[in-house]
Amino acid sequence: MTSPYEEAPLLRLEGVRQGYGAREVLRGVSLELYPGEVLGVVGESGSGKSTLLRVLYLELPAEGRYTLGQPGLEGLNLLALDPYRRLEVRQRHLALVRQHAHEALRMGFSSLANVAEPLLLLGERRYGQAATRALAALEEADFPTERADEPPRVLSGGLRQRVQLARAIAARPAVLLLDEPTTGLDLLVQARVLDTLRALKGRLGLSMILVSHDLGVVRALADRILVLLEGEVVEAGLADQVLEDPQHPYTQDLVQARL
Amino acid sequence: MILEVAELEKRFFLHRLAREVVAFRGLSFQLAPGAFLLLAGPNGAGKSSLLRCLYRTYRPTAGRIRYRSLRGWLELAAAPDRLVLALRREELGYVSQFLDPRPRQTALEVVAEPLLWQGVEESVARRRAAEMLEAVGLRPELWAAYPTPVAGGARQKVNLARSLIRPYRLLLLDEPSASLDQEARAALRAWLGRLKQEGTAMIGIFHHPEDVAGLVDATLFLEGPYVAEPSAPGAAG
Ligand SMILES: Nc1ncnc2c1ncn2[C@@H]1O[C@H](COP(=O)(O)OP(=O)(O)OP(=O)(O)O)[C@@H](O)[C@H]1O
Ligand SMILES: Nc1ncnc2c1ncn2[C@@H]1O[C@H](COP(=O)(O)OP(=O)(O)OP(=O)(O)O)[C@@H](O)[C@H]1O
Ligand SMILES: [Mg+2]
Ligand SMILES: [Mg+2]
Repeated sequence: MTSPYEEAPLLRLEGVRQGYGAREVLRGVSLELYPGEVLGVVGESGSGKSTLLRVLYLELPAEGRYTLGQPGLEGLNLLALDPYRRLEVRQRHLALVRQHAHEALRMGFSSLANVAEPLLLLGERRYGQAATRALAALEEADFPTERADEPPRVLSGGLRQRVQLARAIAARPAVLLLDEPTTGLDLLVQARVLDTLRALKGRLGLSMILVSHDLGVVRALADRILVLLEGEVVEAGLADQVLEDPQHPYTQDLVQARL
Repeated sequence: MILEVAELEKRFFLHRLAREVVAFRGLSFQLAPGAFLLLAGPNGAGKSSLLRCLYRTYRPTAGRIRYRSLRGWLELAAAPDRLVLALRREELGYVSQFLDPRPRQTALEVVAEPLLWQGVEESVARRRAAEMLEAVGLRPELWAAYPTPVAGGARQKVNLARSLIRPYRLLLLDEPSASLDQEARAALRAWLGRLKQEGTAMIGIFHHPEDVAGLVDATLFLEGPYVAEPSAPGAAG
């Protein structure tokens, strides 16, 4: 069918496979992310969600095709780049908020330094300038900026996630990847972090891929949802459709389990 | 015409129960701009499911939904998800009896939000949101409250104000007046009349005829409920 609607994806994965040793964890994953949208990825523990994000973050090698519709990268398969170019693409275009803040932050450095670091890596020469931008990012992440000199080590889980978020958005990535950004936080804190993410989506028009096993979290943010089962996409659709008219037996179970 | 529905059908396959539920089948009708189609029929006849198929919250299982959008004619039943999202943003509206839970957003923010998506400046959006809340009769002291924990009637006013703050080409109404008081129902009736004059096509479910007095151009009776049928062999997966 021809459609009067043409739109180029910002990110495209085609037939991506990844395994740890002989075990295949991603078994031919294809997906598209469009500018300004939030794509939710759900699936049970071990379905490959984190692995998928690490492939998208160019942190794990994988087979298949991965393209970003960014100036200078058109048509380039990022999975085939040499490690140096890969790092460059990651730093310039991608950001990942990890489930465990300690995997992403330097726990002993000040929060401000944590957020300023990627800016310095990207070529900001003046520390004062980087610090100013870092402070602005902390504010955007709803971090109490008067505490910017404290290291993540002494902060609560919710505030650590805000430092991670500030670090991730400081350099305005093309794609923000979020791995269970609210898991492990208590409910109220979780709700506040979701508020911040929603505000960022509205204000900055950030494009995000949000991984969570919590359908409520995904429902609160996602425009479209993709369901991963044992490394395969078994369902993809509009967020309300996947939640209210799930097609695949596994998705039906997942939705049912939530009620 | 703005909408041409042909032989539309919706079935649910409940895999774990190995059961198939027919919400409705064989529905055909057409709708002109500015026309109002009332859906009638007993509980479980498939009225809500039909609206949800048109909004694509449900995936139709057979049939066609030809819709004339601002972009031209298109097949809604098979339109790509991204196109459906764009249509919802720009021209397709759905108002139900319930407000999606919107934690920690004030009534004014909830109502103004659709305008912000369209790029309307914040101060303008808030002023128009206040006008809408006034039109549906929400007491001003609730404008800065969080609607989610508020009682049903007030919450529904917020929901309505949010839904009706911008124009649509096609508006789907699933019992929007169910929990409203007299005053709010009259305001809704007046508002729908205005939309109709502006050319908005509407399909609605209303249980009180006075809520749509003078608006209805045609009524579609859904006859269900259809009996549950056992799945075809092998369909249970
Ligand atoms: N570094 C690794 N080495 C070997 N196997 C791994 C490694 N990381 C993940 N796996 C395996 O790959 C599979 C997918 O793991 P992954 O972490 O991607 O799942 P997930 O969907 O993120 O799960 P969770 O919801 O528990 O975070 C699991 O079986 C896991 O044991
Ligand atoms: N998401 C769903 N999953 C499974 N079955 C559904 C779903 N939604 C509706 N149904 C079934 O489809 C049939 C039609 O329901 P629907 O809600 O469309 O009827 P209705 O005419 O709106 O009824 P009412 O007047 O009670 O609102 C019912 O048998 C219902 O149980
Ligand atoms: Mg994981
Ligand atoms: Mg109904």
